[in-house]
Amino acid sequence: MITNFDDLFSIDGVQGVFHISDNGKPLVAELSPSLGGNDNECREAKAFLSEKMQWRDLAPLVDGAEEGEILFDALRIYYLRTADSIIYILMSPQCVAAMVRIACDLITTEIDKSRKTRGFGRFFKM
Amino acid sequence: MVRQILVVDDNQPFLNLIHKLFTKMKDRYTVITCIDGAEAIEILKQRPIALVVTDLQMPNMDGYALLEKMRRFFPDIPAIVATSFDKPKTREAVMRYGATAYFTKPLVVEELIKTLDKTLGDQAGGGTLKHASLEMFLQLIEMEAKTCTIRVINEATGAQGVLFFREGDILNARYGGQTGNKAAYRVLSWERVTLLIENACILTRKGIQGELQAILLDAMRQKDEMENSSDVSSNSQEADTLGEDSALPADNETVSDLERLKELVKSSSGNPNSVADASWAPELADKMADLQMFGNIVGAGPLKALFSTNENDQRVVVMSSGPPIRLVVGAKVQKESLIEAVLDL
Repeated sequence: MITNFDDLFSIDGVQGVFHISDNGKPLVAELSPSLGGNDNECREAKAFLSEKMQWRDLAPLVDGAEEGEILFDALRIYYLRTADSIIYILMSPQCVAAMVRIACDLITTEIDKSRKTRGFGRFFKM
Repeated sequence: MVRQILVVDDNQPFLNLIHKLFTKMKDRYTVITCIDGAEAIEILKQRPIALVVTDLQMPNMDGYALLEKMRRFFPDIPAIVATSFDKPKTREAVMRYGATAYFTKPLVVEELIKTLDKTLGDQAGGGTLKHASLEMFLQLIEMEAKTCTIRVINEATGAQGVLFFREGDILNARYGGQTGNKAAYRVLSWERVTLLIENACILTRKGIQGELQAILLDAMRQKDEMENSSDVSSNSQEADTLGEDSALPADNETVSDLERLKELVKSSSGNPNSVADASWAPELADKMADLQMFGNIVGAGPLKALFSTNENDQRVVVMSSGPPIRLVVGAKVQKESLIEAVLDL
């Protein structure tokens, strides 16, 4: 499955993306240097989210809402639930959230489409 | 004079080391420890704490929330942060929240002591006056239009209060968890006092009603009324000794915090029907702490809130000031109004 997150990073103010599957597998983990991000921090953040912030951990905080925002003093995190994973997008306070949401809509469509090509879809046109 | 230092950290071995360290300085400092911000606030209301050293990551109420509360309700008490997180953005956020200094663990003890000595030394930078006449001294402050913070110690009971002056105008007073006129009346009724004068005032807005002369007159009148009342026979029976009461009454303790928050949200949104529900959510505290931990890793600063929309198109907000608060508000309520309302709580 190829999911292109490059479009997200082209949006001004996007500073990191983490895509974590429901079984704790980190699918994407990138952190911008503007967050002081280096390999170690990215690894630490990825490991932490995989272990402590899967969908089952976040869901009680947001009453199961499949998208929302987490507001820190110096950072905003937009999260989006897919069928079997969760995407966290780290944004500066000035980042235009609407553009991030549009980009995420395209990404989740891609994710869902690639999922449909499994099973019979690999052999038959659906 | 022995000053009381409060150290807040959920790591018991660290607290044990702190106790050992301060035993060697018991001629200058007494240390009190606790494991989270909520306990710290209760101690600040009841004891004359001169300075707080706090960790950031703690259960129940974390260091950020503690700094916020201290900035609003105990602005005269300096706070030093001692944490394992060494991120530029965390340091920046913490200093913006009013911390005096920021240390990363493991602490260099000499640096901590040096900072303690300097910070507490500044509190008496304008001088120390023993056996002072408070009324006369304050009138002098007013005449000379001084800007200062005066820490007042009741020599009979050891109780302490604080008076804030800017250009000779009394801005506010604090006694334990009380502020405003009631706190001023308490402090101004003391007879023999020691004064520590700091040549600065952190407050800029007036939180007390009336000018100094009127407040002094009111304080004396109230003191006379108390002394004439059959319930009080002498100064020693005044509940001025901190800790004597189970809790110091605040100026407006009749409305719960949640009700106040609802009113604040309604007022800042301009819509009396904007709040559908408000409740404490202590069961979310652990997960909020995990989110804060993630924020520390990426240098995001203090966690403020989570926002989402429920199936009824209402905004669900979980705020992280102290024990988590869960709000359900109308979709049009601005996030900034919500954040501001919680800060005012």
